[in-house]
Amino acid sequence: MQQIHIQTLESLRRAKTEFHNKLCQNSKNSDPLQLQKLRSENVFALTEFLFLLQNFALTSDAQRLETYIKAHNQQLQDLINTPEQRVLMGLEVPRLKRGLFSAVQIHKAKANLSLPTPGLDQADMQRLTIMLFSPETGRRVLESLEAGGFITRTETPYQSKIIQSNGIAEGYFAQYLDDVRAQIAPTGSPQGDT
Amino acid sequence: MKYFLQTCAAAIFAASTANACIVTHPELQKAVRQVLVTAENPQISGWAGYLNDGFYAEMACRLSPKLSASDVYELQGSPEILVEKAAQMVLLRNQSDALMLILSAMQSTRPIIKD
Repeated sequence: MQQIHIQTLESLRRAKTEFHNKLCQNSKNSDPLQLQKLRSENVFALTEFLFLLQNFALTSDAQRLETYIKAHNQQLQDLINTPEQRVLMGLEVPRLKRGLFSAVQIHKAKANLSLPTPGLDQADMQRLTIMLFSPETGRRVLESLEAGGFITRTETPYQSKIIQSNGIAEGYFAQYLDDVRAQIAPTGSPQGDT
Repeated sequence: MKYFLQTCAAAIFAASTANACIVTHPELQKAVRQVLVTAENPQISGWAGYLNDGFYAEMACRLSPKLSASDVYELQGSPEILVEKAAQMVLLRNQSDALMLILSAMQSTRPIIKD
């Protein structure tokens, strides 16, 4: 047995468990069902997405957001045109088409960054995560994070829901990455390995 | 009957917690409804009558990769097998593939601005 592999695996698992522990310990709603949702893989995946949004500053610069959305559209179009890859990823054409932004939707997404409560509309978030979740699942994961007090969803007069994160969940994700990195020594050996 | 209900519940639970199936298959949906509603066991057929369109749509979507409407009609008289097949076809996708694509799209916007 390669001890280093086991230790590396343990480091990854421990860091991920700690990430979920922090979410649960700091959830403003401690209902067991809510905590169970916060420990789901979907919450981990969405937090990774929010962490990336934050680190690439995509919700603070309309031009960068447009560039990202166009790259997202191109990826979906490529998948639509490539059945082999699409099937491997378990995605279907109608679903991918629901994730495409029209020119008007791109314009609206950029305009939402200029609102008094700047952020992505929930529908835009669902489009951007269409490869991860169905729109319905995406909404449920967002609701779980909202119930935990990690994001807010603000309704606008234009029937949209602007999502804003307080950055706490993204901070826990950054700590998760720090924990994984800290456990791995520069030589590639987990710390403590002799 | 108890097993049938448990399997149905498992299929519904899996559909609600995994990635919901969103593609519609009207012919397959019709076939699934027919098999359950015409079950010989009056408890099953009666109970199946209370299930809503969402349940049948979800089951049809789950079954669609491997079964056609005619395949489902052949299961008439064996509703337990049909529901069990639907439960077994819940597919949890590997989200790493999607996250890698998302990261790649974001990287096209600019370098990371934070240390």
